[in-house]
Amino acid sequence: MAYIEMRDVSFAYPGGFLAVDHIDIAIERGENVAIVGQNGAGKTTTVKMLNGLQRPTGGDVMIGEMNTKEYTTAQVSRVVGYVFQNPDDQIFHSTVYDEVAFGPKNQKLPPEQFEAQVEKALLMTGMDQFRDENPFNLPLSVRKFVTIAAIIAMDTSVLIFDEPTAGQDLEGNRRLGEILRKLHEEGKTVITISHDMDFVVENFARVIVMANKKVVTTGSPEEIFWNFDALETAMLKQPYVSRLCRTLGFEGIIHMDDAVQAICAGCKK
Amino acid sequence: MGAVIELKNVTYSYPLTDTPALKDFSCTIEEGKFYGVIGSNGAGKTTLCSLIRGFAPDFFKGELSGDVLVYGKPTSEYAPGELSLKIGYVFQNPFNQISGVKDTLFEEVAFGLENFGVPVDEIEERVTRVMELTNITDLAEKNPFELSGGQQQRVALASIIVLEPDILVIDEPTSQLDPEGTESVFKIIKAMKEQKKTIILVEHKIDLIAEYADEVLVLHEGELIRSGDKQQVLSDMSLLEKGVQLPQMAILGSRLIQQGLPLSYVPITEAQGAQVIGQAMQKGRV
Amino acid sequence: MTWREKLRLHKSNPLAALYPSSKLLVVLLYSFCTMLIGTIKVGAGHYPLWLIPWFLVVPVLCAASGIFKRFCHAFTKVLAIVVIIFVVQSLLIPDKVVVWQLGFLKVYQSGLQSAIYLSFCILNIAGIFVWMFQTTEYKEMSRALEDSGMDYKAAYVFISTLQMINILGKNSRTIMNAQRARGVETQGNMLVRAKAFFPSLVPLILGAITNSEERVLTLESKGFDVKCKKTHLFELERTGKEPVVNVISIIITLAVVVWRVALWVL
Repeated sequence: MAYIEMRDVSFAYPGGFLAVDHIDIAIERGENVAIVGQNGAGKTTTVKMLNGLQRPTGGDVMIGEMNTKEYTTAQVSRVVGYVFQNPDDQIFHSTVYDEVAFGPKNQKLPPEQFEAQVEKALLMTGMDQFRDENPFNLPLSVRKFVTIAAIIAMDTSVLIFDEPTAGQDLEGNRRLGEILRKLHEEGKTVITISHDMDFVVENFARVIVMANKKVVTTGSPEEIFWNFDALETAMLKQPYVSRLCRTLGFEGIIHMDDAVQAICAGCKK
Repeated sequence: MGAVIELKNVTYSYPLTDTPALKDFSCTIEEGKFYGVIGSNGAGKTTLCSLIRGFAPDFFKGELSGDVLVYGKPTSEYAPGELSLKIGYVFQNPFNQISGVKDTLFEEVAFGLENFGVPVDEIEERVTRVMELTNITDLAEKNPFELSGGQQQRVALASIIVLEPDILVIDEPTSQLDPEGTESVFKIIKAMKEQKKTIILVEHKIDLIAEYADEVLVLHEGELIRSGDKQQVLSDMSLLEKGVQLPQMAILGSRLIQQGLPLSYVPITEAQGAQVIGQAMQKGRV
Repeated sequence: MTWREKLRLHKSNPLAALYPSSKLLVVLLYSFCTMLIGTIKVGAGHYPLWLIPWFLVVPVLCAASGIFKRFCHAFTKVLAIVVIIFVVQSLLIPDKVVVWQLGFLKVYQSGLQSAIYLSFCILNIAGIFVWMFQTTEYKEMSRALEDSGMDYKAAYVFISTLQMINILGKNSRTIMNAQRARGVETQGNMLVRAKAFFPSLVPLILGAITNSEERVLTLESKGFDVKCKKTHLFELERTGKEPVVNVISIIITLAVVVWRVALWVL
């Protein structure tokens, strides 16, 4: 049994609108997974069922031994942290430090553990330099890191990031990649929704593709981005490097390093 | 082709800040060209857009030195609303661009024309035409608040395009959108380019800038550090150190050159990449 | 069919199609009558009982306007508040005369008087307002306000505020979800909910403020500040029945006044 399991899960809104249609997902402890797909595919509703914000209307969502139907959202949140796409839906403190410390404060931890968790989160996200700043004086893309720090500080074993890459610049994406790597090293299970295919290729070992309220397929980025049927169903394109390699006749490549090697090797001497 | 917008030694600071958002900034925007504005977050891209459109310093206050000229006249000398007919502005957040007082898309797009007192027959004709251009005709009777982000952004574009400005300033329109939404927005921008509008587009999606822009302005910490033809700018690898994302093709191309592959130029788009790398592979490695 | 014709609201029900100013007159006169009728004391206990049959006007009017179901749906919330007010008023105002008793709960005469007066005044006045809002679209109100001479900017503020209430409702749900995901309990006893109040309210208000800044700029980009004669795609017309309705409303009001004065004098 995997750590996180969605067994034949469906979700229908009270009016009858079906957002998720009989999906099965299994995520092992410590995995670093990306979920991709167009808007309306059911990605956000799916991850909201993972942290208890929504309860499945069909099937079961198991986090370890916990069936989310039997716990409140706040209880599930102690195990599964969720960073929303819009940081302004969450921030309400006047300093970055207070905002990040809010989650751990609610957990009523002993002082040393509290300090340690907050400091770790601030350092990991690079927000320690802004600790006394008002979050609203920072640009939006930096505020995103404040909310990320706020959830990391809660030290949950699972973390969900909803489109952290939207609106990020080069440095922001690099820092996100760093954070994902460090969380993975700590053994956290991380699930990220992203529209940035280049970012997905660089940072994830496993990708889940969703379309039309169902899971289309799952696999490594190498498998996914060369599975043309899946890409067509989900209306996604290959990363630029892969597209070029396909035109030049090299199959299966997604990383630039491999592309450079393949092209040089394929040259006529 | 003349200069339509000029910035001359512009230094601007927002109120209550110590450091200027733009420092000694000078550039010329020529009629009918498509400019991509790139740089790390906080570099001053949005400030540049606000200055061109006149939101700064009029709305945001703050201190301005130097000149911001639109068609030769400083932005502060334009009457209220006059600049709206010359420069259309699209923001990053699709939700904030909805007027909030119209319950159908058709009326939403017509809102600007009503404000300018355009006769009703003309309004109807112009709105119908623009809705077809932006591919939202089948959404005409929907409530603007019930649309997806991509659809709302197309409505925002339509509401501005219907006023027929010759200059468009578009600030990160696709940041919050999915790939399909992004594509639909860029289709509209491409159509505007074909109509020979002057376009200033701020974007992080550098591969799309490489595809559509003519020239690129690179900002870093409030200064213009590079500007010029896109082919030159986007193949300059030193920009990576300034936090500027370059096209995947350009990075690949320059790495291949380092490995000894004789590319005749550094590609910046997929089509160029296929062509120039394919050719070089035929010639063999040096 | 041109868009203008498509947009023009075609209401089959003549009452619902009335020009907004006529409806407003009905609302104001009805409210005036309500308060007047509320001063008529009936019976030994001096209760303002006439308010109760008077209230029947509202559901009858809604049925005649074809919106009975929507009215019921919208009115349930008002009903809930009124029931609370009724109970509180009757139990808490002490007096010499006790009307009813169950154990230690005592309903006093003045409490019951006050309860009936307050509850049915609210039911009547809220009811007639609900009728007006359920039979009139925002754009009709906006157009009517502008045509009557209100500054277009004021009309804009009025309508967008009404729309914003829906939006704020949606936003607050998103924010509460975000805070629940951080361990803030939102369901439970009063203390728990009170603790959730601040984290839910601050982002909502700050968000509304920052969003409105961009919205102001958007409006400016669409010529909102330009001083010229505005044109309107949406046309609002009078049905022609307005004078009839106005006259009937005035006659009824006068009848109520005469009746009230007569009862007072006799």
